[in-house]
Amino acid sequence: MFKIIMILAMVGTCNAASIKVLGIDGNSKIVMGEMRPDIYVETIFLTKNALDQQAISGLENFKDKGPSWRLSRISMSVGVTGEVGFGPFKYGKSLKQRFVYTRY
Amino acid sequence: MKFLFFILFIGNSLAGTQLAPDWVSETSNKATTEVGEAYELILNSHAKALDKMGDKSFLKNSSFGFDMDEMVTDMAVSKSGDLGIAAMKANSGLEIKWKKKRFDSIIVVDEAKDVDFVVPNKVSDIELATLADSIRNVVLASGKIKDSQLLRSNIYAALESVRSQVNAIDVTSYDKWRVGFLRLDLSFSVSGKVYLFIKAGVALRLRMEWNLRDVPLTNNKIASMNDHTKFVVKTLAELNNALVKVPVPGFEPKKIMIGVGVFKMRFGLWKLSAGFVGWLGFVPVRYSNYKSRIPVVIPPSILDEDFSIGGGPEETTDNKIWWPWKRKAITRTSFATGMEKSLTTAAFFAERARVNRSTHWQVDEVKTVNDISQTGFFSLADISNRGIVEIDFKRK
Repeated sequence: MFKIIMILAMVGTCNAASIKVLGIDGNSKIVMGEMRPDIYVETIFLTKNALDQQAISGLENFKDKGPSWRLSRISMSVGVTGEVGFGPFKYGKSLKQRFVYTRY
Repeated sequence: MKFLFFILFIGNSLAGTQLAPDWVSETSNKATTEVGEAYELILNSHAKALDKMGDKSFLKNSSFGFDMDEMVTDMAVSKSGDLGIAAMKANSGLEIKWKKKRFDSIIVVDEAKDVDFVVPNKVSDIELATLADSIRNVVLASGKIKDSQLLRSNIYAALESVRSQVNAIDVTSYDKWRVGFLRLDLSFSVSGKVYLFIKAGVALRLRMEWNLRDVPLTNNKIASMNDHTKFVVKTLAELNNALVKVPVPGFEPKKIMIGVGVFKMRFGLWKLSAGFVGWLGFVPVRYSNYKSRIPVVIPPSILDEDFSIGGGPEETTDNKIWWPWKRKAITRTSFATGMEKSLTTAAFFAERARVNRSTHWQVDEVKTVNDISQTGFFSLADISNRGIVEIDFKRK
């Protein structure tokens, strides 16, 4: 199973037809940006594909821990930190992975 | 004056189908419909994205056999009532979880809990020592902490403190709800010091849940309740009342978490200024347990007691009426109104999530996070605050 948590970047200014993105800047002040829904949809799609590839590269080096344990779940999340402006995602320290083993 | 105005406003909002304009903060006058529209725009966009993904997962067709099963979106709310996607540093005030629609009943969804250690109700000294060793080993594996001895003794001391507080609760269940667990987030400094809360800037965090048994309130126990138990029972009573008043067809509350502080071994509602212990997690009582119980009536003398903040004593000055931020207690009426308001805001989002927007996906869970003010005013947590009440709704 695969879980994805989307946390997106802070961007530009707002209007009524856009999806708002809310965050806190370096001075602990609220920052609000906007994103067109079609761009948002496309970004989620591309991010999902990028995470798929990330997971595959991680799994290739992975081995189950003993005969009675197996990897049952991978949970991944991605975020973009500290940048105002919407563009290609920059993954890095905001990428989180959790591997869950269960007995079987 | 301002306080009274808001209480009146909440009362009116609960009676109608629309939420009051001040449901996010005490000063906001943002129209509710704008928040509703923003929410639906996000839901529709996610549904579109999920449909666009379809079966185009690289993982599904690989030899690993994994497939995307769940998607979580965190949303934040600003002080002025704007709702949007939560950026990295923002606190989530609302979370929605999408799951694939299941047409084949044989498939079982594997629920992985977001908990690192689950602790049983009664823990012996030996078990506590073993648990402390396990936590120490996990923390040391990070390579960030060098002093193993200090770390071990601090972990043990923290666990022992929590155990004594858990043991002090001798009733966990009243009517249809019970306290199921106490959640603790342990964080660690480089020196090996242990904190019972999430300390900003600390990289290491372990989440523990201390399970509590279902111990029902009985008439015999009412006379001998300690302060811990009184807090739990009073909270359960108000929770049961509020849930009757705020139904959400199609969803049912799965879990309600209330942040608690502690002062001299006494629980109280958590405020940022109060010492923080953790979260009390409230879950429904199993019907088979509930139906056989003899109803118990809690005396008004207990129900009408104020809820303390952080477990501390109330100020004995009349000034608190005019300067509410000096208050160290919340009246029963304020708490009950706040609880209803929290459920109402959660219901607002849960109700809109019922609409079928995607071919193969549906919203499975809706979680709202609420904040409490010194006056007892509950509001959807904005991104500058950390909420102290979390409500999870799950589809029936």
